[in-house]
Amino acid sequence: MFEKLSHEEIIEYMRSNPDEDKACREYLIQDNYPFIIHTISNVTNRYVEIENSEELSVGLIAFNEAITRYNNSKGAAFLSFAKLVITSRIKDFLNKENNNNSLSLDQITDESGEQFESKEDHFKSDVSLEIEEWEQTLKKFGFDLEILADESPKHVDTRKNAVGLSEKISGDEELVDHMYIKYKLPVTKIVLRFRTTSKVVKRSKKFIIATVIILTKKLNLLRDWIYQGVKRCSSC
Amino acid sequence: MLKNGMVVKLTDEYAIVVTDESEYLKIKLKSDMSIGQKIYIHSEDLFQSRGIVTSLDDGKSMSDKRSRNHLVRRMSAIAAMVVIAVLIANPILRPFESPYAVVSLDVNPSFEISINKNFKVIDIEALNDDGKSVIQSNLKGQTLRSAVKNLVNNIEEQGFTNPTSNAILVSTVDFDNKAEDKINKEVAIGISQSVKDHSDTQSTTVVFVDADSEELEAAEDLNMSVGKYKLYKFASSTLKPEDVESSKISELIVDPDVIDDIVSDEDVHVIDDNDLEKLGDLIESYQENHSTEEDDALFEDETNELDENDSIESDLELDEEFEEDVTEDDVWDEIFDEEPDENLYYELLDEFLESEDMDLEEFLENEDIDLEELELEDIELDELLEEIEVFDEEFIESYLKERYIDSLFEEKLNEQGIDLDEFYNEILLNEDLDIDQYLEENGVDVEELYKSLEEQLEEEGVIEDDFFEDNNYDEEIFDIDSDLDELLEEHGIDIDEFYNEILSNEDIDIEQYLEDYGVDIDEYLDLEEDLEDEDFEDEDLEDENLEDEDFEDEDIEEEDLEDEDLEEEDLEEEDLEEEDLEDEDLEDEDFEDEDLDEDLEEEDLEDEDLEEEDLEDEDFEDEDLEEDPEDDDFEEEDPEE
Repeated sequence: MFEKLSHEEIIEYMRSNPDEDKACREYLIQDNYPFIIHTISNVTNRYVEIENSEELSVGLIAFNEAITRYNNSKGAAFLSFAKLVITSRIKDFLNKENNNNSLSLDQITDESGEQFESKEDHFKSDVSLEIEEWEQTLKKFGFDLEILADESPKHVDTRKNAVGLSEKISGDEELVDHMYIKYKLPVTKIVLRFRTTSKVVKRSKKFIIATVIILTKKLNLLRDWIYQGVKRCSSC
Repeated sequence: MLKNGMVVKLTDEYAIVVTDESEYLKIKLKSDMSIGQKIYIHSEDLFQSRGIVTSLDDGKSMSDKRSRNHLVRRMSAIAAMVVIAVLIANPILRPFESPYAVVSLDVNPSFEISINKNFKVIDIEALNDDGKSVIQSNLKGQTLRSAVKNLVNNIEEQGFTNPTSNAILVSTVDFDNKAEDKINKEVAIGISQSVKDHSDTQSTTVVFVDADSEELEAAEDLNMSVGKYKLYKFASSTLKPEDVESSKISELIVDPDVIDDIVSDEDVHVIDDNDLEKLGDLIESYQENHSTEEDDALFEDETNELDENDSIESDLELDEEFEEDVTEDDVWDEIFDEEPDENLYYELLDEFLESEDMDLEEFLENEDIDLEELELEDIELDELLEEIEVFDEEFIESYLKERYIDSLFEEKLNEQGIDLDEFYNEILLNEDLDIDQYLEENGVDVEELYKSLEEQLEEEGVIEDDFFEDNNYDEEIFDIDSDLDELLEEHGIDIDEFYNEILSNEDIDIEQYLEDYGVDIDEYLDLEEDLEDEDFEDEDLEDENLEDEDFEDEDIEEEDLEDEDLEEEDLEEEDLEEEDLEDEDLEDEDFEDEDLDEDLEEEDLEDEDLEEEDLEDEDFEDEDLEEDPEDDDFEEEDPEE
């Protein structure tokens, strides 16, 4: 219902209809999520982490505050105002964190926070082991992650298709064996067996190899990760 | 706009993330990044490849420099001319003129042709004995196109070609000059013209393989052409260098290992005889169309050679002038960008087998190829049927015998006065036949029969189960049977009749038989496909559309790049012109300066010039340096905006 309204108009509407306050805020936050992330990231010069990011919660609270405090009569656009608010709140937060840094570290190791910290670290070290193995295997196929990034299909559906094909290949023991013996993708066989065109396979060859490695080498953390979005897309 | 990514690699310039939609992206570096970190990625975080940025900068600064430093350019041009003059004057240095590109051509004679920037042949070398007999000395100095044409003509005239199928392997090493496409085009046109002249050699396939200078060196170490070296690498598990060296290309490219790579490798392009013919026709008609208007000028040139030398440039000009017509490049692009057709290789294989008078099985045996590896059995009905044909009369009879009865049983039945032929027929015609009942109906005491059978088996120390195991017939064979049965049922063919037909007629063409009964074999294949891919068809369609889009994007990018290239070329050409003018001046001066003193003086002057140049070059570099930081600043400012 808000699609056609500008941010300023939505806030105006929200003020006059207090009943819909929550819906309006939710819509605004949802709509400007990338903006919020980007603003935070610019202030901290770090990427905003998806899980357990304190910066993100500070930024969201700041954005919410901006909605409350925005005053159209001052003439500034809402987003530039929101940017100001988020920037200053994040800066405050960073300063506070810097001051408390030594203290909080001690607290964490001393008290029950220990387990929470190590859990996240645990994931990172596990995943980096998987990534290392993955990369080593890719090298045997004659390319690395940089080339992969350059040459993997850009379009969502092409990728989906390639992932689907990779699944089928991983399920075929003979093809997988062939792959790991020769370190080559048996394109002709795949084309014949799965009735695709060589064009599809050729275009996404490296991508398919990379995906098949993830699937067949039991790199479960990576696999779960690349499937998240696919699942999300198919559900919606 | 926002993507979820996991950092998988950190480099000095950028980080690589994989998104939760399995997309691989390069992103800008920010502080505190670690591998395995899950982060939000904004579209502005994407890393822009430096290559594009610098090329844009180059374009800008190039024009700036041009206007600012005309004098420097002049001086460096003069310096270059001095160097070139020395090179030309010195006969010892001449052979080291480095080629612009090296083209290897294999039929099996093999050649290596070196060309210069104007696509003129500067050196041609035979890489084997066959090649030596073909080479003519006058090929040097010709354009690549006419040299290839003459070379292929010679090859054909000396009988190195097959009447049925031919393949020419062309490999281009262009030392990063980005002219592979143009070179390939010239070669293809040359070949197509030659093939047109020799109607007796049919179906020539041209395989283009792009190679780099490292591969050229490696190939030279092995004493073979680059093209063959690439083929050898494709099939290194099955072929030895000597084999590759001595085989004809038309044989090599049907090697299964090689086929796989020809189909899959980005460096390889194939154009078949139809395309070649099309190219030849179009080029010819194109030349006819334009020769009347444009060639008037060319006719004034006295020698043929000159005519040919100019032809490339004039063609290029023609292309620009007659944009609405189909140009050589259009024809070429159309053909060259076409995806290789896999069927082509099977066709080639067939042709090869025919010419060698071998059948497929023999060939496979000779080549030590596992039928399974070729995957013939589950590809097509043809193969399925072939498989079944192997298990013809003999097989079915023995199968039935083993399945229901052994010879002992047969004896017993005989004793009971049952006509064995009739009995088998009955079994064949009626799969659900209850044998016991049938026997009873014919006055056999079944219980007694089995009892005596068991007794006899025990006497011989064989247990019934063991018997079947001993005979160890392959269950897979029955699977194929049931496959076929299904097919037949689908099309309402009487299975019993079908088997009967097979049994009674050894030479029956099963496929023909099926078609007679109204089975559309193609339809069956489609059906099978549908069953396998039920869900995937829609996706495939979508995918194709999407790919087309991708393709278009790529085209556009390529065009852009080409434009840039063209601009650069233009610039270079201008430079050359300037140099030419100045060169003439210099030469004039040389002629006038007969006194040694003056020569010396001039040398001094030149030295001074050179010094000046050095200084100015340094200035120049400084300016470059000054510019660079600005650029960097600019980049850094971007995200903040």
